[in-house]
Amino acid sequence: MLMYAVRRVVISIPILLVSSFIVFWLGTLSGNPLTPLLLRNPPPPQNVLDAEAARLNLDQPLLPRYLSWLGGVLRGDFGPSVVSTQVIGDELAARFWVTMRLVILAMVIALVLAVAVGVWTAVRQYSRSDYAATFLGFLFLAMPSFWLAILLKQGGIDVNNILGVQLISTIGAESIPPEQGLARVVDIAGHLVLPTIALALISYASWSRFTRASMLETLNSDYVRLARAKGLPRRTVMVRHALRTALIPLTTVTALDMAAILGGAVVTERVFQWRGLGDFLLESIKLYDTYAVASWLLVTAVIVIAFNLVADLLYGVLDPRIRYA
Amino acid sequence: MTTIRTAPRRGRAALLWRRYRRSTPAVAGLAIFATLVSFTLVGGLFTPYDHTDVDFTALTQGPSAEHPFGTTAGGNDVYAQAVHGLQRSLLIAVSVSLLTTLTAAVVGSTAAYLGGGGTWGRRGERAVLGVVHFLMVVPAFLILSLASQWGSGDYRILILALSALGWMTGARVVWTVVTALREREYVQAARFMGVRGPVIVLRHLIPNIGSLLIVSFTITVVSVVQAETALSFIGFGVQVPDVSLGTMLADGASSMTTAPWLLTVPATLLVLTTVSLALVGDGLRDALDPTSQAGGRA
Repeated sequence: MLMYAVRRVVISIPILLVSSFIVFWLGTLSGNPLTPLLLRNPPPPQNVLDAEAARLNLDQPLLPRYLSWLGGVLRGDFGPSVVSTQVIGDELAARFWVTMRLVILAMVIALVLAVAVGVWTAVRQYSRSDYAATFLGFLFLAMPSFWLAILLKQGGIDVNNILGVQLISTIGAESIPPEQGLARVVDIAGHLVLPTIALALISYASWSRFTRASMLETLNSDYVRLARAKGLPRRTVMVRHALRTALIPLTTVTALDMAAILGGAVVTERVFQWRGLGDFLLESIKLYDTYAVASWLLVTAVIVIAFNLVADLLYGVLDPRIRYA
Repeated sequence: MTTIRTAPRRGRAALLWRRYRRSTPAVAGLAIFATLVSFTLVGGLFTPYDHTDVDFTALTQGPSAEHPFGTTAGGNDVYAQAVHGLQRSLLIAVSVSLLTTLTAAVVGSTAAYLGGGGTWGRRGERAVLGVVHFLMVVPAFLILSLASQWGSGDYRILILALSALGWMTGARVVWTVVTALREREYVQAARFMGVRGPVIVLRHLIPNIGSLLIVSFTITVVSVVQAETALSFIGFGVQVPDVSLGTMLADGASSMTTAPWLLTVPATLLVLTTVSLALVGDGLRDALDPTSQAGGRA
């Protein structure tokens, strides 16, 4: 298993290199990082523009620029930012945890809900609860993430107005100025509620449908019938035999959805005004900050690859027939 | 002598329609979607305004006889914008879905076909799947944002970018299905008769996954509508002076309490579009699937 994991990591290196180069190239095509300076009135003198161009390595061709940035990344330097006061590495590190606490919590909630509802509706196929769950799933699937986020945000504001107290936090990842100690933990948790629900419900909708379909297929298989015929308790048959197998395809889907969830987080962060990786990306694109955008890609691509690797390793745990060559 | 009256032979389309009709939600979905398409085609005839026209006497005005859906802060007629916005969103969604479904069909079935023939074929299959898996790792959102920025919000650039990044999952599904199909007798027979690879893919393999592609197309329309509106909402999709449901939602989101019509109109159209298409997709899946309740009976 260890060798398999190492091989997968090695294979992912060229993927990271090629994808980061494509993004770097697209970033340089999308616009001139000196635009904010050029739009100033009066425009800055030529020597200021030349100095800024030299600082951002704009005087070099594309490939040498990319290679020097890549060399810097290996040393922990993510290159110069268009925002001269911003150190890209520090900024990414700070925002990474803001986004990851949202994404991981949303994924955990979505998975727990999806498995619970998926199993329940599969066991009670064509019952009222099955139809109700299907209808809700359809509704969340059809609803774009940002629209759901807007509704939740407005709902939170309305609840606060009715109660006359700030019960639900609707803006930011934490209060400004930040609280201290236990109060800070409570504050962060309060700010997590609405964005997490918004992000979790979209994933839950598709994952619960997937779990249901997978579970139905498993329940009709021969080995489950045999387990029942042997007189094993219903609970044991469901959890040990049926659910364990039904979770294998869900693991794949969850890992593959990671990139989409990060995309959803970008929009959710925009609605709730979080200063996470999503906000960092949007600002960087608008400023034509190629180094920042390429650095964002590296971080998120590593997250996606890591999730895919974990999913592959989980197969072995869920299905003893799988062996890693 | 007694004559036995046989039921008239029905074509495949008539049979599918009979199966499809059995699902009330699917029929409702089709009716809603047909209404929305009609709205985009003839809705413009019922207003004197264009989506770019400005009425300076009515800024952020609620629904009235003059402006049935109200006006924006800039004095644009929301009804005219809704007609154009839905038209633009559907045009993007249908174009992208067609392109991605066709690309997925060709790439997926070609990869599967290659995998069935010799060492070089298997290498070809691995190469194609390698490209597919590589593209699945790159966050599409980022590439779309950069492409949109480069194309200055031109919807045609958006169509190309969404199409270039939307076919991989479909290709993976097609590859899985066609891998089983390539071992069928009729494919082997065509091979032994010396039929060329591209002909086998286009004439024998792709037509046999038609039902999968139809369902895939419908579902893709839903996801593209959502992707386009999300991109436009954050300023990286369709951009002014053009209008889509996403740009309308972005305008309305900031004035949800003061001018609710700016948000409710595009939001209603968006939810109706996605829900109706999701219902149509579900109905088609049932009608085309011989094991389902609807498909199991003629």
